[in-house]
Amino acid sequence: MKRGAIFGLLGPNGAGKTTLIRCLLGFVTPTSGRAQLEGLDCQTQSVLVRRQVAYLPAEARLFRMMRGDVVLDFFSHIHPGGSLDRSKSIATRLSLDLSRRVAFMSTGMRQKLAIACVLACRARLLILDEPTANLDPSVRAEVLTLIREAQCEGSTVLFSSHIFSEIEELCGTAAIMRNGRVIQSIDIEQLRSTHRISAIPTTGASISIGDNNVGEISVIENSVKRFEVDILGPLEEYLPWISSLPLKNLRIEPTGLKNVYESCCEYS
Amino acid sequence: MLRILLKKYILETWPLWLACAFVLVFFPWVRIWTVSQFELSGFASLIEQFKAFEKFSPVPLSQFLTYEGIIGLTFAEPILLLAVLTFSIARGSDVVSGELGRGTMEMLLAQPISRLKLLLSHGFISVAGLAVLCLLTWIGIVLGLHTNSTLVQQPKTEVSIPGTPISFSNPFEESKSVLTPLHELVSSELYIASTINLFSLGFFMFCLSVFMSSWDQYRWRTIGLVIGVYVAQILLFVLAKSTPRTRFLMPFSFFGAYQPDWMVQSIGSENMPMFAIFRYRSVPNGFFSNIEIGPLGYSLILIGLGLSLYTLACVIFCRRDIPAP
Repeated sequence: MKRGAIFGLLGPNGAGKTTLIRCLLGFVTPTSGRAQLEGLDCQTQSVLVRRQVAYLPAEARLFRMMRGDVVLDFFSHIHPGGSLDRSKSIATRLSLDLSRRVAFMSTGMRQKLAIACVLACRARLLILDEPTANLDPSVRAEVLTLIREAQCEGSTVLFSSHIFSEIEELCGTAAIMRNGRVIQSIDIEQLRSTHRISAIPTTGASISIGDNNVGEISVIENSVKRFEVDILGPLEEYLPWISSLPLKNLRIEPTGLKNVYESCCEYS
Repeated sequence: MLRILLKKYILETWPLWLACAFVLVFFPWVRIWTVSQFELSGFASLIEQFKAFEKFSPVPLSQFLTYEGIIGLTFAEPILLLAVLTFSIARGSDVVSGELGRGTMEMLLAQPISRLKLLLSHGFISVAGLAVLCLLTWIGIVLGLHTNSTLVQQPKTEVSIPGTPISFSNPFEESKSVLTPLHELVSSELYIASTINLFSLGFFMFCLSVFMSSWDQYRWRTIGLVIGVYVAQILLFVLAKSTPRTRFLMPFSFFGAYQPDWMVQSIGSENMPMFAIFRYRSVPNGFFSNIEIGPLGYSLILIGLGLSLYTLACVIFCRRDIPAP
């Protein structure tokens, strides 16, 4: 991960995203290998590691008998990077009623409270595991803005999510995990300029791709029934070539993270 | 950082603590008031009928015909034990499996605090709370002794025949009972050792609960296991007391070290120092022929066992994986 970047983490359920995060925080012992953060061993120097990390779990559970403002007070004092003023300001931006006890808050309100606790913390690394789950669209947009602000103030963000649009919007790079391994690293900037062409050949034969195009075209399927390729460069340069091909029902769309993810999880 | 953690544990503890404190102050007072309403000599015939069960009692049953003995029995009352044990088990079981069950452990351990510090700060608040609860029990006894009086039969006037060594009580004088404050009959200091013993039992149960909690994930199971151990230990204790052949089982039950009645008797009647760990006995008996455990010795056994379990709990909790909520 690059320092100061937002790094997306994707993968199907059970891929190992949360386990990876829990290894980094020293909650679980790795079966093999070592986890390090800023040169610190995540197992033996766990407290030092956690001084530099603020973590939002996928299902953040807070102390039920405390009121919202007491929870903010607790988390702002227990972490060296915490700030009660910042967390209250975030709670106000998220329209959160802090006078209520956690036990009487809805799932979304609890999530907002947990976000206020974590994003107020000026930690070097923010680990956010599905931070926008259970939130309505307007709050979701506000949370993404808060994450960008944290990045601008110097935090590096590890953002785990199943929502492709959020990762595309926020992250510079992302990784797809499956069965405990990273199976694909994605440069989101590059992905934005990648397009997928899908069509049906009209000649009853597969399409011949010229040698000069091979480097920039990634073939997904090329058969008598279906032609599907990803174009990895400026689309306008390829449009004359595409129009010359014997194709019908032509569709051109940004490749998007969804297509990459489906390809990885389907073929790996 | 530590201050906020202590504050959290105080916030979690105080409702239960307050309820237990109420019981532990008023129950001894009510019990002493009840005792003050009766002339104890009237129970002699009743006690006589229970002679067969004397072997289950740590002290001779005649001890219960004295005010100090019958008040000392307060420490064996189920209500008092229930209040102390409820506090100990409820707090002890909460520290790991309780937080895991509620899913709050993950947010807590994501903060830069070591697991040991978390366990110790919880232990500090709980043990301090338990100590104050036991102190309140003693204060309840002191209040009971200072606010209640009982009718005590006065001895008849002695009549002596001049010039002879013969003396006898006046047979024509009517027996008189005088209302006497209980604190003139019983010293509250007699119960300090028993109070320490009560604390040590609570401390042991707290440590046992922390030990069970340290490896468990479900609080209900932790509480079930601790209560299971408690009941098994009571059965073992009763079995050890039943026959001379089963007496060897006594060291395997921690109830062997909970002896508040015996402490009251030893300190009150045998003048044993209340802070004695061992006592030298002139008449040899058994393997450690001349040495007998003193009141503080019994309490230290329970505290030592508790500390061992607490140390084990720290090792287990610091090494275990934290399951996802």
